[in-house]
Amino acid sequence: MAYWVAEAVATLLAFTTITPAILLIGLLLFKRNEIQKVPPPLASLPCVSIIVPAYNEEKTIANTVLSSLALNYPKEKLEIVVVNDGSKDRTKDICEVFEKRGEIILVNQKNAGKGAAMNAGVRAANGEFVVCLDADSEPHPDALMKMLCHFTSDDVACVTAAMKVKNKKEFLSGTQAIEYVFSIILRKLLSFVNAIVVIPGPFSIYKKSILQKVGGFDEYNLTEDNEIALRFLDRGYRIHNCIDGYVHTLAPTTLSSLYKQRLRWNRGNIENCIKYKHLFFNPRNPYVGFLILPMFVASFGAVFTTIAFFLYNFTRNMADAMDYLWRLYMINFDIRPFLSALTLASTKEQVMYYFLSMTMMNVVYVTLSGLLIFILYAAFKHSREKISGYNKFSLPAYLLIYFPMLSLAWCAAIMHHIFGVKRQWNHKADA
Amino acid sequence: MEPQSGRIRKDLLIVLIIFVISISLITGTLFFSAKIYDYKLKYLEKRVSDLESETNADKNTSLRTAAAELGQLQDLKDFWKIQGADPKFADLLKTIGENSDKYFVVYFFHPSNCEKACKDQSFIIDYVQLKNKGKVTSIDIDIGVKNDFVSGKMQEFGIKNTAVVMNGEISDNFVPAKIFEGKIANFYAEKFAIIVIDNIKAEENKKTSLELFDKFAGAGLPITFGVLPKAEFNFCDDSELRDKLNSPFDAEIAQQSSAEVIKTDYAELSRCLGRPQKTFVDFNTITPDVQASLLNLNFENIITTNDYYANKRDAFGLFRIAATTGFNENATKIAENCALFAKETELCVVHVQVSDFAENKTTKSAYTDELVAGLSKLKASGVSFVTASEYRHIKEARKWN
Repeated sequence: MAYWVAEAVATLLAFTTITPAILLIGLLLFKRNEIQKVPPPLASLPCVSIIVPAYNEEKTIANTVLSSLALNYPKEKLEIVVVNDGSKDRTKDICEVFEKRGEIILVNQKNAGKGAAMNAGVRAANGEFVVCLDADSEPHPDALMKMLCHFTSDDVACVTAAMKVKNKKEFLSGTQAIEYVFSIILRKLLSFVNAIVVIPGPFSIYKKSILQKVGGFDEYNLTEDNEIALRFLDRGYRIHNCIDGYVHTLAPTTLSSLYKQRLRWNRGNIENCIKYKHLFFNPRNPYVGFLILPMFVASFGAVFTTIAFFLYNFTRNMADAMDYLWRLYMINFDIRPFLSALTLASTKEQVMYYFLSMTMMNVVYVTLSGLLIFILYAAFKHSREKISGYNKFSLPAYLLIYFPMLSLAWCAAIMHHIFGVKRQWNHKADA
Repeated sequence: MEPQSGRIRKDLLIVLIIFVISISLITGTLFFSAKIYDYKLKYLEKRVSDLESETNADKNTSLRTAAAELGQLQDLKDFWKIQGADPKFADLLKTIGENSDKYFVVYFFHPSNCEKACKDQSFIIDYVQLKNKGKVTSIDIDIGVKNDFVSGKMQEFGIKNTAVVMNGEISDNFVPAKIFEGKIANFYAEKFAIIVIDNIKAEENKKTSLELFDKFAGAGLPITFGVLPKAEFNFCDDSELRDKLNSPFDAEIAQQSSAEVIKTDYAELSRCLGRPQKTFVDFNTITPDVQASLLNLNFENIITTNDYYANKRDAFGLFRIAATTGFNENATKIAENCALFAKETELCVVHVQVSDFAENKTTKSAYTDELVAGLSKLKASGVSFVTASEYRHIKEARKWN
């Protein structure tokens, strides 16, 4: 029974991961010449408003504003709107210094969340384009100019940036930094088929007229960036990506803050999947309707089942595990005899047995590991990143334990949703 | 904004192709893995066939004699033994196929130099595992002989070493012990007992020990003496006791030491006795560091009452003992218990705690007489009284010669 459950879970897992992987590999192969392709520059530069929603960001807001002021863009066509979302620290004082110098427009409001802050910023903005810039992020000086070129047609509602992590030398944030690099190529590839379903907060440019036409940001949503993306896609607009428009952001540095961030993201994504259930299997955008959203939901199921299966087996085998531990303790954890036994067993014949012991779970692991490494290689190449700049333990951690670890947050999000746990927008943990 | 219908059709077609590729890959993998499974099974079955032909061609081995000796066990449906020279693979496989919901006890029986046979046995585990699709299979290994191939396989598959043993106690945790028990009792008709006089140290204890020694010697009952570490009692400096134990009477000195001093005590005792020590006795729990020391010093016989070691010591290649009677029972009861143990498990250890005799001065003589009489009666009923080393040698000789 356990064998067949394992095989069934593995098959589901295989389907939900291999299918999008085929799409990505196909896009990597067929669109390889277009990944770095730069659209022609705009004939005339439009007015752009950078909106920075800020809640208790006294440590980072100054750098964020300074990096915005340092953008290579005509000053007369660039305005910076900081929305102080009821901060209780010195955020407001810091922003007032910039305001007095005439460098920013400061909007103060009672704490109402990021979506409301963004909407307030949009109302105060005068630009034809508005940029969402998280208060802990810093765009590259050329990012804005490069990204604007990607508004190549009237139906492009938004252009997303290539996010990189600033604190990548630390272990946990370094591991996330690799995930972000992976997302750079992922978002670029998905943009070819208009299937970007999350518009990241750190630095994304919206066409203001379209944003207002669709009703602005959802102020009550846990992941307004996911919601607005789905709304654009629902209304038939396109979301593009600029792979060399870099923005550097801070990643959580503790497990607790990472868990809270992912819990919120996943729960918000679940709610948005329900809100936009009509997009599922909708032929108007087949990539999103048949691939991205269903696979996203199915992967939830697969991960949930995998963890449940793992726990079932773990509990069942707990007695065995304790017995093994006890035995190991009794021999002072001297496993050399066992190792020598394994070596003796590894004859040519045994190697053949291992090779022949092919189950679906093995195939899934091998295939996915191969695909992951291949796509990761492409991601590093196209994002012009070097692994040497990262924490040396981050890559093994990313490949081996990162996803199983995050899957706990996935499960928690499902449980929170099912049992109606009170929703929280954790300002400090997340951006 | 409405996308163009031509573009929608093209996108739908691409998505359809992706689904077809994905489903093909997955079903292909399932199909391929099923084929591989069949192929592996056929391959193993051929190996089974080859092995059977090979062993049938070799009739006159000592293993075959041993197999014949164990022949009466083969009619049991609930467990199987795999013998290096006489594998009943076909029957085993058939039974596994018919009883996929049961645990199987595959009993391995092998010589000490078992490279080929052990390889064959590890291969059998592979086969059983494959047939059962990963279901936990209870497999027991014969005691006394280290089989790296089989233990390696057991580690690989996480197979439990069942508590079912020959030559020792029988556990009913994983096997139909009742069936096993009856058969095993018939097979092992010959019973053994070891008397250990334990904890010899103080002057008064020594006198008691000498008295015990004389009475057991008079009844022709050999003794294994448990000698304490040098720090507590220097056996080698005690010429009276040493001369007595080096007399022609059948006695054996067993070491009792802590991990810190065991090596030096062992050397000292071996030196003054003029022969290497082979036996270790400790009726307390052996700690891992003592365990490691014992392995390093190559003690052949280790007697303890610790449950863990009593059941699983063979995993580390050590000697196995069945049980002890304890020392607070009355003497007749001890002899009865020993008889009971011997009936069930072939071996009984009589643990004689010297300090108890020394403290119980008023009754010690009568108690000793009663104990000696009870054990003599047991001896007369056919139980062989031996030292630990003798027991070991008899077992080895009976198995493989």
